Amino acid sequence: MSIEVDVGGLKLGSPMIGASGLWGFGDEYADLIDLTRFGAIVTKTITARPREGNAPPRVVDLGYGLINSIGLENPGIDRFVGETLAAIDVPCDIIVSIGGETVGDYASVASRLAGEGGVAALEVNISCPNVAKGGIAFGRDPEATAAVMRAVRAETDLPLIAKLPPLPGCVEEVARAAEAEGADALAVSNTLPAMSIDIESGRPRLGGRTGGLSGPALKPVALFLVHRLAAVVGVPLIGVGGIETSADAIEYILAGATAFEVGSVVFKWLNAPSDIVMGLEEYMARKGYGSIEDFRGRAQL
Amino acid sequence: MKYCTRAAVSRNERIAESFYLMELDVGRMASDSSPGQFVHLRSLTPGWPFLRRPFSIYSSDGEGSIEIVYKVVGKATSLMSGVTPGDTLDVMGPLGTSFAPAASTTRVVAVGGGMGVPPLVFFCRKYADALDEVHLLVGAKTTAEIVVPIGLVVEGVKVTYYTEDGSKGARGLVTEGLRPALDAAGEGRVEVMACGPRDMLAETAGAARERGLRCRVSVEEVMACGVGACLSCAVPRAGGGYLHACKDGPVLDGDAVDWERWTGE
Ligand SMILES: Cc1cc2nc3c(=O)[nH]c(=O)nc-3n(C[C@H](O)[C@H](O)[C@H](O)COP(=O)(O)OP(=O)(O)OC[C@H]3O[C@@H](n4cnc5c(N)ncnc54)[C@H](O)[C@@H]3O)c2cc1C
Ligand SMILES: Cc1cc2nc3c(=O)[nH]c(=O)nc-3n(C[C@H](O)[C@H](O)[C@H](O)COP(=O)(O)O)c2cc1C
Ligand code: FES
Repeated sequence: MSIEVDVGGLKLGSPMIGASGLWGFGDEYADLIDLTRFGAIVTKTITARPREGNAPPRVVDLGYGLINSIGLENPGIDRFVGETLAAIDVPCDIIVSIGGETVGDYASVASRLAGEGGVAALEVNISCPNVAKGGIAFGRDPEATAAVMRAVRAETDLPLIAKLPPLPGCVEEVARAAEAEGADALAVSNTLPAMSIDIESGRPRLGGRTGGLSGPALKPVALFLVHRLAAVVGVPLIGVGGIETSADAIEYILAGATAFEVGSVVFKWLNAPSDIVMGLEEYMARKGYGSIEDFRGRAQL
Repeated sequence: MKYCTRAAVSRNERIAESFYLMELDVGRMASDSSPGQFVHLRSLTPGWPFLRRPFSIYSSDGEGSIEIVYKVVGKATSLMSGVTPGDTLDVMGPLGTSFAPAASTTRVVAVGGGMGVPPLVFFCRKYADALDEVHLLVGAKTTAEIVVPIGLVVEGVKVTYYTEDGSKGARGLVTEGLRPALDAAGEGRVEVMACGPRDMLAETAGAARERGLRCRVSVEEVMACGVGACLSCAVPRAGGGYLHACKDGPVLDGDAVDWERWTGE
């Protein structure tokens, strides 16, 4: 039995990937979590210029999920390439998440990374709900998505993952556009635009006013989108949203995902990632599956 | 070294109206714990919110047990108040920076407000012997909210109390005693430490800056990961951008924070 997967040319020892923004640059959990069971981790989204991020508070705890409004705080591509990248020391692959306000921003970040060693793939974040310009504005529009993917594709031979927003109204067109312009895989999805209001003060609870919903509340929505997109596109899908147990991950695979990303669950349980891989292997052994492909997309039939 | 462990609760006692002291068997985490550092914990009981909750370490026996002091303010802390000895909590720690005096420091003025007092008591226990003088200024709304038995545990430390209702010590805010205490600290290398409400920290950092004194403050902001990975716990940095309370802090240089932005002035 093997849990190796091929995600559009990105070969991973495990289908489990750390989602962007939750794992920092890999060393923050060094004492605490063994990353050997991960296929890869995705870095925080890197933009052309440094971003300081949104005003605090940046997270609201809803119990059934979490709303964040980090605002893509990151050191910018120059410092990332000059300092951060070389210092990343993890026992799995590194996928760099890239973002921008303009098509040109995405292209310039991709070109800076093209010649760098140690990068296994790029995840193109066209779905962040927490920035005034760019982000989800691209991912909700098929033409804008096409323009970003075309520009990034022209700069790099690395496998490209387009990370989509969980917006049922437009996701199919956006997914087709990304595929047509060279995406090797699609990550589905980023957080769902969301907000929370303090009724005593009458003001939004987040410093950035609105944010993105992650955690268990997002799972059925993202799972539905993976199911829909599996019928629409030919490139591999990566399921993202609310995965807390191996059963959640298996659902995404049954819906059609080749791999999956784990995010907010790390705020709850540090042993969740290793439990998820163990549970996945137990399930495969129990069902007699030799590979992820043996049961991927079964729920489509 | 950071740890994450299933810790048995050996004590969870109400020490005053809505204040509790909890003792946790955390194993090796205890010997690495310093004053100012925190643990990030959650309970295994259903109904716990999504995120862990951070609590300052109040004491460590250096071997296997630590204590925290907490006030019931919402969902998580109210679930904690119902925990009984023998129950387990999932505890990460010790996290963040600590209150350690600079090598040249001989005198410390420590300013604690409300729930900010316990970590400073831990500081006094650990460092008072090595310093010429420690003056602890304790502020609270009323006597009943001075929850830790300060006199008993910090022998040799000069303690002055301020209560808003005048029920113990001077009536008023602890910051009213700050400048006189700094003036009285006299000779030697004086350092200021503070833990408490945001306005109190801003005032303390300002007073220390006027005198050119090193000042360390413990800040609070809503946290998710607790280890610097998610960038949730942003505290405005002097000169622009943000620090992160869980990793750069919770104990920061008073001058490192942009107090105007953070206190919304
Ligand atoms: C470094 C640090 C040390 C702390 N030490 C202590 C301590 O020793 N004793 C003590 O009683 N309290 C301490 N606190 C505050 C304590 O974490 C909150 O009171 C607790 O999280 C409240 O949870 P709740 O669910 O009961 O209340 P909620 O209803 O969730 O919130 C009540 C208040 O707690 C704050 N809060 C909520 N969630 C978080 C979070 N994830 N991180 C930080 N703050 C949050 C909110 O701003 C809110 O104002 C500390 C906070 C920090 C950041
Ligand atoms: C605190 C936080 C920060 C995030 N930062 C990013 C980011 O920088 N780039 C990105 O593409 N997604 C980011 N995300 C979205 C996650 O990668 C993921 O798509 C989402 O949280 C859903 O998965 P989950 O429910 O498992 O967390 C962030 C999510 C959270 C909670
Ligand atoms: S709580 Fe995640 S960076 Fe501080």
